[in-house]
Amino acid sequence: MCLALPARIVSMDKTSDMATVALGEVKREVSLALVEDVSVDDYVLIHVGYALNKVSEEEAEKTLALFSEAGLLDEGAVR
Amino acid sequence: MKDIEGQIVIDMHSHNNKAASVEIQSSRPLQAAGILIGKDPHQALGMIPLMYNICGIAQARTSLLAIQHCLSIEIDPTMEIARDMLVLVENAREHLFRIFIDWPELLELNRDIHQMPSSIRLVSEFRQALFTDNKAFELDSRLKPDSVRLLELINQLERELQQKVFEISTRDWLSICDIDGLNQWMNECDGIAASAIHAISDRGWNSQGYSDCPHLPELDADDLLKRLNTSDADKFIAQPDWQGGLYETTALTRQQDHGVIPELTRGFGNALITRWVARLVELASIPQQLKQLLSQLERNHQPTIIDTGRRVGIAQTEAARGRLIHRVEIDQDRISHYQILAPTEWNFHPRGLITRSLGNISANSARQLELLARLIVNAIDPCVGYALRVH
Repeated sequence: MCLALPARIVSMDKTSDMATVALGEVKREVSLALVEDVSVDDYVLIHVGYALNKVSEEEAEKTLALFSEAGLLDEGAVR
Repeated sequence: MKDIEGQIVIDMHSHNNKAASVEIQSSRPLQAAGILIGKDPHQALGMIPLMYNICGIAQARTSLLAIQHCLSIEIDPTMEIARDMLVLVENAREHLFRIFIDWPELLELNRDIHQMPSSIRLVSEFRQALFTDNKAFELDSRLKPDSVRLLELINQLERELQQKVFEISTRDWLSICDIDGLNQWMNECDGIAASAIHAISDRGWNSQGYSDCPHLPELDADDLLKRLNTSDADKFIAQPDWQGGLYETTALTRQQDHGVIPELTRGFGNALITRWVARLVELASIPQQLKQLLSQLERNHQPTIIDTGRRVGIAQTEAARGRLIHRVEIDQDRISHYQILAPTEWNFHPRGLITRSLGNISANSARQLELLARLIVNAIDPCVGYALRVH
C-alpha cells in the first residue's frame, strides 16, 4: 500500500498554487490545491505530485524517523 | 527525493498499435512492516497510520483487528460498526481524489481541482463525531457517537456527490439499471463523471481491457494464516496466488452485483467501461451504507471474543483499492512477526489482472494505445505509482 512521505515546504507560489518541498537535500515541486492554510516551513504529506494534508512537525519527524529505521530513507533525510 | 513507495514498471510491447506482450516488475517495499517487530502492540498501532497514511484508516483498522484477534481481546461490534464507517469515508475520499485529479488529466477534460468536494476532509470530522479524543484505532478507544452530527456529515457527503459528481441524487443514479439508462444520464449531464464515461464511450473503448482474471473469493482466515506461515510467505506476499489461481481485488470485485454493473458485465465483461462505472457505483452507494451503519450504531450488540489460543492474529479489510490483509504474531507482549498483503500485489502480479487486461488492447495510434493502457491501469489501481513504457 502507499507509504506517505512528509516533506517541508521551502517556498510557495500562491498564483499557481504550487510549492517546493524538501526532504533533506532533495527538493520537489508539488501542487497545494488540496490543502488549506499552509505556509513555508509547514510539513505536508505528499503523494503523486500533490500535498494531501498538513501534519505537525512532531508527527512529520516521527514518520521520517520510522522510514529511516525501516531503511526506506537516507540518514540525511531526517532533519 | 528517494522514492519510498517504490515503483511498478510496466513494459508493453506493441505491434501495429496492438499490445503484443506485457511485463511487470515491482520495487515496492513489501517488508516495511518488519519495522514493527520488537514493538509492543500500543506502539505498533501508533506507527501504522504514520507509515501508511494514504489508506491510513484501512491500515489502522486492519492492524487493530489483527492484534485484537492475536491477543484474544473482546471485540465490541458497535465499535466495529463505527470503524466500518471510517473505512467507507476514507474510500469515498480516495475515489474523489482520483475522479477530480486523474480523470480530467487522463481524458483531457476541463480540470478545475478547486471543484473537489470539501467532503475529502470529512474523515477527521467523522472520527471526532464517533470516538472520544479522536482515538479510533487504539486498544483503549472509547466510542462516543454524536448521531446528529454524523447524520449532518453523511448528508453533506450525499449533497456534494449529487452536486459535483453525479448531477442527480445518488439514489436516482444507483437506480440506473441498464445501458440505455446510463447513456441517458451521460447525455443529459456534463460534469466530470458523465464526461469521463462519455469520453471512454466516444472513443469506442468500452470493451477494451477485458481479461479472464476472476475476482478474489472470500479467503478463510485459518487458510490464510497457514499460507502466510510457510517458508515462501515472502514470495506469496510479493506475487500472491490462491491455490494456484490468480485473482483481482478491486472496486469492481466489490460492486460486481450492484447497480448497473451486472448489465455492463453482460455487455462488456470486466472491460474498461465496467471498471470505471464500478467506481462510481461504489462512491454513490457510500452515503446510504453510512446511514445503515449509523442506524446499527444505535442498537445494542453483544461483544465477541475470538480466541485463537495461538498468539497469532489475522484481519482483512476492503480498502479503496481492494482487500488488505494483516497478519501478526506476538510473543511476550512484543510483536515477533508482522506481514501485510496489499491488494496491489494481486492486481499487479506478473501474470495477473493488469498483464491480462493490457495484453489484448488495440488503438488507432501509439499515443492512443498508451492512453488506453493508462486508463486501464488507473481503473484497476488508481493510486499506485507506476511507470508505463510502450515499446
